Amino acid sequence: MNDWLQLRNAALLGTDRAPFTPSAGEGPVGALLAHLPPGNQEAALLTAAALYTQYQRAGFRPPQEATPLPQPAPPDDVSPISEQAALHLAQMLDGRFSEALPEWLAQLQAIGRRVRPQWLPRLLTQGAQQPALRLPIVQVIGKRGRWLAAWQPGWQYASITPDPAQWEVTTGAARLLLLQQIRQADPAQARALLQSTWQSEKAEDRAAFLTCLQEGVSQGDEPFLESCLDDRSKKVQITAVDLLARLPQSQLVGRMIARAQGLLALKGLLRPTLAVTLPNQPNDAWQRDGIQPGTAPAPLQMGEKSWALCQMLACIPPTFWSERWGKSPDTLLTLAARSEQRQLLFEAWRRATLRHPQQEWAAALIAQGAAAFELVNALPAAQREPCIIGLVQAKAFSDSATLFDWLRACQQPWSVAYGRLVIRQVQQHIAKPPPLDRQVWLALPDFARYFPIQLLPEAQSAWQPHAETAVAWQSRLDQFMELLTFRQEMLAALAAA
Amino acid sequence: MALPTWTPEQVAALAPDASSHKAAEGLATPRKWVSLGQGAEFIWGECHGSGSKPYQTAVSLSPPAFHCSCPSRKFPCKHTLALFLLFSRQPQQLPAAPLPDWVITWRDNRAARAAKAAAKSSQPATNAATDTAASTESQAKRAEKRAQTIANGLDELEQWLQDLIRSGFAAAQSRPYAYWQNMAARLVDAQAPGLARQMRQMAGLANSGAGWEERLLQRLALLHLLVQGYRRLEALPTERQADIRAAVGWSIKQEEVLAGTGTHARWLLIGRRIEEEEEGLRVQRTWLWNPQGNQPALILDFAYRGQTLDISLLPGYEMEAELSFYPGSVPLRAICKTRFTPLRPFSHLPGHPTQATAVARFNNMVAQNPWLEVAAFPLAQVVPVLDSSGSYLYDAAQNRLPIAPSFTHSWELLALSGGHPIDLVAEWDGAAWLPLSVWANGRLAILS
Repeated sequence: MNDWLQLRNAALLGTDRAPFTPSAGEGPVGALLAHLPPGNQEAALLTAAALYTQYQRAGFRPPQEATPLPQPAPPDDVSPISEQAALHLAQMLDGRFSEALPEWLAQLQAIGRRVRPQWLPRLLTQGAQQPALRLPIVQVIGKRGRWLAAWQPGWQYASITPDPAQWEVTTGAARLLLLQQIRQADPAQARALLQSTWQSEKAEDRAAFLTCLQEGVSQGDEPFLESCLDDRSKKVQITAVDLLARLPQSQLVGRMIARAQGLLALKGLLRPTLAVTLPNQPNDAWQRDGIQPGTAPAPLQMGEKSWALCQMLACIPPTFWSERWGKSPDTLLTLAARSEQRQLLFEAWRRATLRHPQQEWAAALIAQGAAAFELVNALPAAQREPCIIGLVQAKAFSDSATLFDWLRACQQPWSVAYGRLVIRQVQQHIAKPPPLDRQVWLALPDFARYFPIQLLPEAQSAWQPHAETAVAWQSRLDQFMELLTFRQEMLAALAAA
Repeated sequence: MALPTWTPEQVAALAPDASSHKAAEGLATPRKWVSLGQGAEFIWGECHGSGSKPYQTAVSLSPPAFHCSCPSRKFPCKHTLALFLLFSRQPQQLPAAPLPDWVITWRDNRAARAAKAAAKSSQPATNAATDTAASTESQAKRAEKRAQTIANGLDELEQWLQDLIRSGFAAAQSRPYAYWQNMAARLVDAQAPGLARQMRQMAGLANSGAGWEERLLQRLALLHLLVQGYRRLEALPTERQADIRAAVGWSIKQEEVLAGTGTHARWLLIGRRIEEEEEGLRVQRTWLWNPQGNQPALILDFAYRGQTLDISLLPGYEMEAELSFYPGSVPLRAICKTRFTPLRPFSHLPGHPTQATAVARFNNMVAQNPWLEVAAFPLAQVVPVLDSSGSYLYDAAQNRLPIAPSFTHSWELLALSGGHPIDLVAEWDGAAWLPLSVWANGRLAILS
């Protein structure tokens, strides 16, 4: 009797090569095979195949599978967001107003809710593609999200809870996020965890984990960081130096001050000058403290000794010098500008201010043209706006490009005062006759991310009359208004949930 | 009672193409509209246009219909889509108000046209009597000519099939797409579009992975069966003739279908799938379920480029209606003859307790109509699982069946279930499931 596999093989080979002979048999199918039309092999084969096909299709039974099912997700105790809020997430994941996503995620975490399950795959994929979003995402996906994340290699970063007990068993990107989350909640515990497995970590992992400790670094971390100065990996050593240099009370800073005492002095009472003495070759103790031998890296141009002094001074809080000599940062920088070692001093104090953010020093350095946005963003949040406002009012910026770059540099939600300042600046610029000031045009979409929503009517009434005269403005303003309106709606939807 | 609430995804599905959708998104914000309002099952607005006068746009919600004064030839135009999108996201932006004059005019004109059409369709009873003899004769002549054209086409197909078996289809994997496409084109010429579609589908089978030889042989065998059946058409029972004609692609006029008896029942709208076929033709399959008779039904809708699909049947809603079924051994494809109640959401999805019962139902259907390809079933308490070989559905009876590789929302399905049993609706084609909707949070969510 012909069976299915025989038919299949015959059809594969072709009747030209392997003639097909129909042959009947027992059973209902076999009996029907007896009725195949004789003569035409191909027709007979196809008809037999049709018989078997129907037989198989009509009698199909699902296979049994005894393997146990995977562990389902634990129930979530946090409630999900409303449908309305979920629609905003959908838009942002589609690419509309995606600049507002970090703010939305932060707000969602603040109200203590989670994302609805059907949006989890797309959100987790966004996090896989944009590492900066990972920490905010992990905080709003709930237990369902963490369960789901374990299924896809690209989503592993999100698959663990911030539980210290997980530290030893987690691997990969998730481990870094775990340390970050624990450090945010309990800095001492994070450090203790890292110390417990320090010896067994790989060199490149050690450097990455150490960078995590920058969040909430404090004197309590000093003993551990001191021990890292002896680490074999240069990256680890450099990171440890950078962290220790941020602690004004640390021994490293003390050692640097001791070394620098004799090298930098303020001479003269009537016409003070800064006297710089170049040090000798850095010895082993200096290298351990992070002072690298050799010439400065590009684009700086300094000899070996100058670079050594620069690195040394970069560890000392700049307020040490202003307090020691009783001079303001402005005065000291003006003196430095006149000195031969101008580049050395500026660079050293710029790095020092990055490590020990201080508003007056930051403003003075910016005014002297020695530094830029990174200083402002290093300042504590409360000091950033006053710094920029001070600079704007002192007319420190010569052209609109710099001005608007600076206004954009404040990358945190703006206060009402700052918002009003920006409104006035933009108004002044659009009121000018054409050709249009391109800088404002470029800056507007960025402004919309941080602009305080409650000032939207003010902005509209201030800018709209001028915008009507310049059609090209209209689309830019529209984009600004749209992003602001979207932010307003999305925050309202989250609040109403 | 509340109107069916439209989600932005459902509105987006109305767009005739992607550029319309994008343009509509850009307009879906209150600032682009001079006025907005809603009331009495209408929404309306006046949209800023490039001209001096704003465009007047209105949408009737139940049943859905669109109106816009812009000169665009696309339907629905971007203004209508934008208005609808805005309404679906922020209904509060459209304040309740009395209908403006121009909306009232549109509404009345539409009602008048509908009344005229209804009057016209009841008239043929009187007019037809006069030229019945002449019309039936010409109809018969046309039918005969068509039957002959198809027969010639099928002769060619038979020859093609036998050639393939003679040379063996081990070589089929390396055949170019044109090999299948040419035969499909000849079937279209032979007025057998159903067969042409099957031919095009077979083109991909040769490279569809393990077991392709058996799948291809099954398809070829069923085609052969169809050809043989067509040759003996007159000798077969009426339902079998209808099955064969439907599989060949011989279309039946809607009036004929509506003239037959219908099934008056409570019908649940359980799923929908839109497919883009050749040459810009979109096909929408809307699946219905009659819990009383444990019976599925399928309503097909077609739209060429620029036309709109009928989106009034929303999954997640139920209605009491009379459905007229197309003739055949297994009633499946239907037309909605009369609706007795407006749509209202249903609160429970009556699913098959195990996959085996749904599959058995399908087997029964296929045993009667060999050319039936797919049917949708509601399933209760199945667990979707992903592993290295693909995704599957497990049920309480420890049956495991695969989900079709063409399903693109496995992750959403997994996220919605969380490893727990869920109720869902899926199409079964004899080999794999294609999930269409999931019951979550007390309502049906479309997996689109």
